[in-house]
Amino acid sequence: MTRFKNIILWIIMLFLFIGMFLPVWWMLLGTFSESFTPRSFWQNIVNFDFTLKYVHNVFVSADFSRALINSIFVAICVSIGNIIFCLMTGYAFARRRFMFKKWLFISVIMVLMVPVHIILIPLFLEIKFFGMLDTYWALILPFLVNPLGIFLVAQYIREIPPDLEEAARIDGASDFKILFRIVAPLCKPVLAVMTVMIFMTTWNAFLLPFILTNSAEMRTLPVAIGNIVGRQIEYQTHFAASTLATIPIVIVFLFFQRRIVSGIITGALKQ
Amino acid sequence: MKKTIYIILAFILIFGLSCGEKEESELTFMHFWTSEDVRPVINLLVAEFEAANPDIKIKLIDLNWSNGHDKITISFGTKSAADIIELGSDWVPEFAAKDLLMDLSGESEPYMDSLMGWEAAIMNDKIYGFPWMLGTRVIFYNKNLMTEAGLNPKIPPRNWEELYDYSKKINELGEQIYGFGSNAYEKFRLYKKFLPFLWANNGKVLEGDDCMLESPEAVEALKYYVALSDIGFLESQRQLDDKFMAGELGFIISGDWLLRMMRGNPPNFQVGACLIPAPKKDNARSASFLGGEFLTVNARSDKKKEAMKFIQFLVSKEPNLEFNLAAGSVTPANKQAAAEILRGGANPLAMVFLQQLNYARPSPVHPQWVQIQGVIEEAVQKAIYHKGQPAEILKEACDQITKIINEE
Amino acid sequence: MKSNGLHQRSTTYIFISPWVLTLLVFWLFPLVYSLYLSFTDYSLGNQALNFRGLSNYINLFSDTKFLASLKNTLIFVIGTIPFTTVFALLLALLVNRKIRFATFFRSAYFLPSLVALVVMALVFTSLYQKGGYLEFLFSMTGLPTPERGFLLTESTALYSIMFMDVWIASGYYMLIFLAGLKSIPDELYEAAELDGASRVQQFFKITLPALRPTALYIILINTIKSFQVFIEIYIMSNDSGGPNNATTTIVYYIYDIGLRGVFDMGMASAAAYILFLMILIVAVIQLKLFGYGKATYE
Repeated sequence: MTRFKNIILWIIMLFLFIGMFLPVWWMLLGTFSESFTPRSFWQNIVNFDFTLKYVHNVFVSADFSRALINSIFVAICVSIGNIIFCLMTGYAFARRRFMFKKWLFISVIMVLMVPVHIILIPLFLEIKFFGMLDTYWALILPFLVNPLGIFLVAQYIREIPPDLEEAARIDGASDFKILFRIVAPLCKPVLAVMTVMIFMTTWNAFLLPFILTNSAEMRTLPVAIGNIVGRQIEYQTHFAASTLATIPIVIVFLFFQRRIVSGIITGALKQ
Repeated sequence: MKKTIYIILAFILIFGLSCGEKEESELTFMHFWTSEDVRPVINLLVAEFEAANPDIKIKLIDLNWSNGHDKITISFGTKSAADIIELGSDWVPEFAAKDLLMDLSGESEPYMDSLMGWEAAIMNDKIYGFPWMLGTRVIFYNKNLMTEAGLNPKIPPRNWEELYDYSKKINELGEQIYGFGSNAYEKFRLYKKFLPFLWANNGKVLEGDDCMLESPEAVEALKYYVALSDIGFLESQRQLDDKFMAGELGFIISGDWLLRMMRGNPPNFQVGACLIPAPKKDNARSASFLGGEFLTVNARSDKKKEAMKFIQFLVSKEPNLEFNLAAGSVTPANKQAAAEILRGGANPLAMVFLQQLNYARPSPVHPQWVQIQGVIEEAVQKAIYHKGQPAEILKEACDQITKIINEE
Repeated sequence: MKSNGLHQRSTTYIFISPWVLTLLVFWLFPLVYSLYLSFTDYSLGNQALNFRGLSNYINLFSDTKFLASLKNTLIFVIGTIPFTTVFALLLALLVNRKIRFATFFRSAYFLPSLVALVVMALVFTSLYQKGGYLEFLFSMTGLPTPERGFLLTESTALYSIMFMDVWIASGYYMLIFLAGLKSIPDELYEAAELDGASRVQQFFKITLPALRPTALYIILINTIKSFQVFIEIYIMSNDSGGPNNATTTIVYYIYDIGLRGVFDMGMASAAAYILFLMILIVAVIQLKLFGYGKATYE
């Protein structure tokens, strides 16, 4: 009986898997098959005709490798910044009392709701005023503290009993030591979720990097891909560019997935 | 753990700072040529120029066709545009009308005879840009499909009626095969496909400040265009080019980028090209859209002299030829360069472009053209979707255009 | 104050300073500046900034394009969020079963949401195109296909984009639901089992109430995101918001008038503020309904 039920469940899962993965198959087929046709999935599988031509096209064009390095650098910096700063701010919201606390917390949620197009031009002017246009600073500095990260971390820390910290304090540990030596390890699950989320957002961000940088040396991947897409070429090359841009993010996910998926996440979203 | 963080932070600091430096004396140039076959040539030209002018350093700012216009707009709007800006022919009046471009009338004087395509850069008797390369649209056709449909592939459609009939015949060849590729609405693109039909029928968009779209010629042109679109395959330019290259489209109005695509990926059928046909009337002549890339100077630039030096270098014969060859353009703005391409016995498709150039014209030069073309595109779209009779739609469009013009 | 673990200490201000600085410099200042712009006639040709009062806001509501964009945005929000939420929950329940391969499917369902939206939009444009795969599937199952292809037929364009959005977002929110599911203590179910509660009863009595905060978080984040839908529209309508404005959303409208062509930043800022207000109202209602996050600042 259970066996039969499991088989049914597997069939449903497999079916959903094929369905949900369809766009990904499509992208992969378009990248690697010479005889790709947008018309039939079946024909693409049957007539699969392996080629690296389109991947090669991407690599020779648009300074792809430099853009890749830039993207990795920026995403890592932003992720690290967020791990440190969201932990600090989130901890303060969960454990401390201070002036305007209520308003600052409301500000965290409010900022989440701001459409990026509102601040685009003023932000551009500001970055220009600071002389940071077309530098890594412009791509990193404004994004070092993500409001969603603060929100998640704060909610998570509130759920941890403060006993350990109290004990450490009695032992004479400094506040920073308590935060980074005692609280941080406890927060690993939520930090993992947050890191993947922020890495993803940074990795895929297009509009601001596009506006805030000028030179080829400063381009991030989405901007470089935008340059490829903006040209009149076969769109299998677009698929190839997309596939290449997706691989690093999948690696990051697989790296963190044990933490995220295996259920240690418990409580990250508890009230 | 802590140590690693410090090391990374220090790394960020050093990396970030080292990239923050900028040379003050750089001459900035916004251009659109990022692909692997053109960018190296641009780099070479820059190097050559810098070698000849050691006191000038050039910094390239890459743009792309899908959102380069946005970036130019933002940079002008925030007073941070480059010294030299490559602008599409339609964009020159747009920015010139807002006093953002330098008046180059004096500088262009000695070049009037050696370059062609000035029309698109003239507004109120002032010249705002140097033509760099020209571009026009022709009809490409699939010879194999024509043969299959029982048509003579050596005789492409000579007038509107034939284009319509041939397209219809090719439609019958198969479910996925279409005769005519009709452009879906894409901003800044659709009007370039409609205006050739309007002009061929002796219609006009503007006469002075009066909208001429209500005229019977215009209505007739739109009616024909809608009929053609009805039997055609409606998609974006990219999809149309793709479908044509896959051998499933009989006729497509496209530009020289298609030549470039074929160079890299030769199609498995015979390709022909012909002029965009006119109606079967005595006084009707083929017409096409004349576009091109223009080199303009930012009115706020403090290196106008250096900028002019570089522009003059770019439009001179050899650099112009090199650039146009790399870009796959068969219509350089420099006349001597164009003659060189002709002498080189370019492929027969390219010859059609040169021939079409004689019948090509730029979009009307008007400071409000960006808004006007928006109205035209919306109107054409409405007509294609049968949201009303062409006459009514054009009348409505004319009212809007008149309003836009009078507002200023 | 010790009782609830709250302290007042000097390091507090160091801890919150990164956020305060980011807030002031990168959010508050641009927000105030663009609020100011929304009352002016800042545009490409006119950088003199003349005060125009409320006229930007008034003009917006007489612009048919803006009204269409309001309508489309609301359709998008209302038409995607329930489906995404329910579908994500179902997926989460499915992969939460303790059977073999569940972990594999869990990652597999999430993976598509890692792909950049720009890329997904390109892929779906290819799937949706006239003579494309989806049309083939439709005609195989005998369903009627739109005459001009899914994205170029007015009646189907917006819904096609919404469908894609649900498809992609579900895997992402599945993971968050999963986190919620994992946090329900097993003892609760064991106790219910002893009381003789059926599986269905357990689901409605234990699982659903326990998932409330997770569901609210998902709905809230998704609402905020959906109101700002842009890049899908930009790519899948070939940057036209068409056909005939059928897919013009508010952010697309802002982009269209603000960042190119006329560069009417005054008008664009006004539209952006209207959007901001809409999101704010909806989000505050949601927060009030569920009382979420309140405990953190009190």
